[in-house]
Amino acid sequence: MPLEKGAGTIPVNNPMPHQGKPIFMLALLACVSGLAVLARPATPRADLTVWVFAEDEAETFRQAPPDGGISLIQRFAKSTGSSVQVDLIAQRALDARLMSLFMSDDPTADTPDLVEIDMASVGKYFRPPTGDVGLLPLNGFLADSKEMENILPSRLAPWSKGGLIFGLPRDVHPVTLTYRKDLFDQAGVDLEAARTWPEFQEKCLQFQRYWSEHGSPGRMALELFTTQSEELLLMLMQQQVNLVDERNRIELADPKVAQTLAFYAQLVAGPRRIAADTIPGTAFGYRDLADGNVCAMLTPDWRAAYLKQYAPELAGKVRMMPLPVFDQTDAPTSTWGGTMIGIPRRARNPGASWKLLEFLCLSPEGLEARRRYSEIIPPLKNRWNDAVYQSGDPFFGGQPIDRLYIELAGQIPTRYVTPISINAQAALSVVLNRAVGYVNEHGQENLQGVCAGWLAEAAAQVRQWVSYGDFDR
Amino acid sequence: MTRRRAPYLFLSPLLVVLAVFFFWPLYQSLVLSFHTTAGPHTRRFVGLANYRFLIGHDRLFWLAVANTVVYTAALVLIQVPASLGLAMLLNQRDLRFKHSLRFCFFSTYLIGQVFVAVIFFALLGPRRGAMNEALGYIAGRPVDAGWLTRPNLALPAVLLAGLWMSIGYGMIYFLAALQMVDASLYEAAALDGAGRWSAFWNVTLPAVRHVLVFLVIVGTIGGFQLFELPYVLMQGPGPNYRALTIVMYLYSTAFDRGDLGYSAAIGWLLVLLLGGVCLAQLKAMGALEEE
Repeated sequence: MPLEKGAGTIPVNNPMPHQGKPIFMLALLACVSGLAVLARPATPRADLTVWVFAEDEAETFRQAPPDGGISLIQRFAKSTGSSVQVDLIAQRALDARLMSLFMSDDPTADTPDLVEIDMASVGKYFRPPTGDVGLLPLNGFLADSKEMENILPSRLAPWSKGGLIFGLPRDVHPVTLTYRKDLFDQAGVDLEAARTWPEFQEKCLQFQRYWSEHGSPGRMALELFTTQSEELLLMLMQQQVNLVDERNRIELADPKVAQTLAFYAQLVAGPRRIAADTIPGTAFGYRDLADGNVCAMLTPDWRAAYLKQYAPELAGKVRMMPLPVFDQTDAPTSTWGGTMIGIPRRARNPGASWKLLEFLCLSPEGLEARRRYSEIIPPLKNRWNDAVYQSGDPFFGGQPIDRLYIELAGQIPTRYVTPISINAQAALSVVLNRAVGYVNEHGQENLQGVCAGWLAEAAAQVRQWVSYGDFDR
Repeated sequence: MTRRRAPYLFLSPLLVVLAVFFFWPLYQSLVLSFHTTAGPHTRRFVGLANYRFLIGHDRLFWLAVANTVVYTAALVLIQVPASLGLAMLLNQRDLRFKHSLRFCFFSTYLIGQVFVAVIFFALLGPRRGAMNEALGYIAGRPVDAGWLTRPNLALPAVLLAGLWMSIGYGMIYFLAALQMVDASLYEAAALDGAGRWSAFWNVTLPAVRHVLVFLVIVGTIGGFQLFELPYVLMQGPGPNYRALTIVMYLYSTAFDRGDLGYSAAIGWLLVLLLGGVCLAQLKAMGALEEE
């Protein structure tokens, strides 16, 4: 259809018909909403603010006991007159916010009075020279506290730099081995008789042979990561080897690392393989244990809690044992993960922050509340004899697993975390992958020697990182 | 005078926003890349040392570059022809349900990278993953191809997810271009004795060339900026860092290691790399001459 004359053109006398109104309306809307935001009354800030990323931690602090009474923070407010606000923030968001707070040096910033930090994140906060670390050293407060002597000393190491303690540990996380007793019994294998890792591997091979002949050829004895080095690190720590020590000395080239790496690689690859990855994701791995795809896994106390949550049908079918060792001098346990609570250096009132920290983490009320929402063993040795930790656990066939954890807690190796730990662990993962590839292609011949060469290369690279980014020089 | 000033007046709010939230931070990030930082009081000027260490010593950076380049090249080389082929198929007059089919193919683009990663995690996951289940059904025994755990399969798994998401997106652009082609050109080509291939080469391809250039450039930029898809699908850098991309490495350097200066240097190298690649592509495709 032909267009009418003039249609689609702008009349000469009115070059912008009606264009002003929408723009005016938009500007008006912007002004009104801006004013509304500015005029909004500010939310009154509590006297003390706590940032946490773990939901059970937030519940511990916020929730009233089920039998009535008031929450921990209300109790603190009642006794001191200081109101407390607990903010639950996703871990990555908390990390990013905290880092920008520490970097900005803005005195007006909304700094929390207490903050929870994960072990995987804490290294970067120790990059500055000790005096510039964004957290307040707690040594003075701890010296005055009667609880200092009760805290497991090895648990303070990950949160310390240059002798200064920057956080109170919330856990010990000793590592045990949980296995499917029903399936091992069916195969006629007594796994707990294995004292060393090589004996353990033999038992597992025997187990796999049985199930291969009885209709489950894909059933693996153990869960181990085939591409990440976290569980390899646990085995190294059993032998008191940290990839990086508290003085940033690189231990990657230690002969024990090559030896353990070579052993680990043939656990996850090649003809003597006994271990496989579980499905990534928090819940899936436990489903693999429930389905019998893997029949044992390394279990710090936090993993035991997840196991009950995600694989409830395993009740009565699983048992727990200490870790096998490489040598009689090794620890029959290790330590996996952890969190701390610290006081930011710019907290409004460090004295009040410490009082709250002491109440939440070290007081009997705080520990009792913690136990309500988490089965994690506390780092306070004097609490380990409490009745709550002595009873049998029906999920584990009545085995008193807390007592086992507590027996092992005193033996956990010291774990150091420095800014360079993350680089060293990345380098170890790369070498692990090369070793697994080597076992798949060439078997075990000369594996340890080859690994030693790769580790020396990796150590040299990590040393370059140390020399490049070290602020303490 | 007022009419001459009016455009600047209307542009000024955007220019102010750009200056404050884009150009100023961009300048600051450039300055930051010449420093190494740790904490509020520790900011040490290191000149080009961040760049020198990155280029000369940092193997993980180069691994990330290699992964990103391989992913981007494979994505563009597969996505663009596949999108064009799909568009040509769905542009046929006598095809039934073509509107529904077009929506189906395009819909994969609407759901976002994180959700695509979750879907592919369910498809490619060990044991219970649909792909392994299907392979196991065919093989008659349990199969675990290790899509997410074998180093050699990590990048192909990410690529598969990327292609699933982006082919439909490219198809829509090609479809729009194909519908603009004058049908008489095909009639003239047929009269001149041109076969299907000759008509495609001499009529279709020149007609959709501008879309092709656009998709190659957009695909390259998207490939170099890859982050969420492998980050969620692999839950990290993947086995042996084979799914580590430049942006993932930048993020990890800034927020896992806390080295913002170094991470800014990675960002600026990415800008240079991406700018260079896009310029080379535009030149190779003759798009600059047209301008």
